[in-house]
Amino acid sequence: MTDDDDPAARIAALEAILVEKHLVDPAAVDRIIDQFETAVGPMLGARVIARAWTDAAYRARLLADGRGAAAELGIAGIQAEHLKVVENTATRHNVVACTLCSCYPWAVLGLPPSWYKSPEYRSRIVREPRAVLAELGLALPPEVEIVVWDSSAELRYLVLPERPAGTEGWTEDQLAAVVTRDAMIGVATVRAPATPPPERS
Amino acid sequence: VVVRAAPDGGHTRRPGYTWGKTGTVVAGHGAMVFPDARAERRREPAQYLYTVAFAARELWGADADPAATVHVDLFESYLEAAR
Repeated sequence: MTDDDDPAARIAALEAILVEKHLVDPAAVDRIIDQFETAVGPMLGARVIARAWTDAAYRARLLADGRGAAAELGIAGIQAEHLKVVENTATRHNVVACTLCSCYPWAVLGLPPSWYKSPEYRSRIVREPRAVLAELGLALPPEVEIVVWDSSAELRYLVLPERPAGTEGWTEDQLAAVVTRDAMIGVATVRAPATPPPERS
Repeated sequence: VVVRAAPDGGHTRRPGYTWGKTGTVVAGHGAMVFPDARAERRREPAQYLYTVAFAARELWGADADPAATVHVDLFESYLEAAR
């Protein structure tokens, strides 16, 4: 195998062999792909965050038991087993990484962005988090404590960002619409537009 | 606690940058399947998993960010009591 091999072609060849040997059902493969393309993604995590911002009791349950609180919103499945939610405050910022591979909270964020899997992010975020965050557009003052969570075992981490100012009175759906994947990884904060996003119909 | 260096070869979930470093257990997560054994199809008892906090200066030296901490999930057999 050479570095020039196209991964997509390799996967297609593998799938063809597995189907030919009746080891996998192509319909099942399509369903899993569809699941990750349409049903699972950062919108699930955003619902969790928006609920936590609007319901103090839910927030407390979420921080104590991520899996149970996600399940309350119907979110379960692969890698929802050990979900730990970590809370940003004015003095403490959390950011998630996986230095050994690319562990990521799939159940609430879907597939990881390619930069999350890059050797550069994985090696530098633990060594110089403040510089890496600044390069990604998040300049934190030196007095703000940074906590890096290296997902080295079975736990998966999700950051609960701070609710942005100016969102008082917004509905849960409007809040969920402004929560980004990057904020839930901890490489960004949530910013609110001057006017709330339109309600979903 | 202090993180023991991993033996040569084999699968491990203890990041190299933690070897020999001293940290503080900040959470316990009960017993979990031990991946180092599972990866080699060895049947071993589950192990307690802990979240250990390391000051960036402990990991990277005096030039590191004084207000940065790295939390790593480590299995019981990786750890020994700090003196």
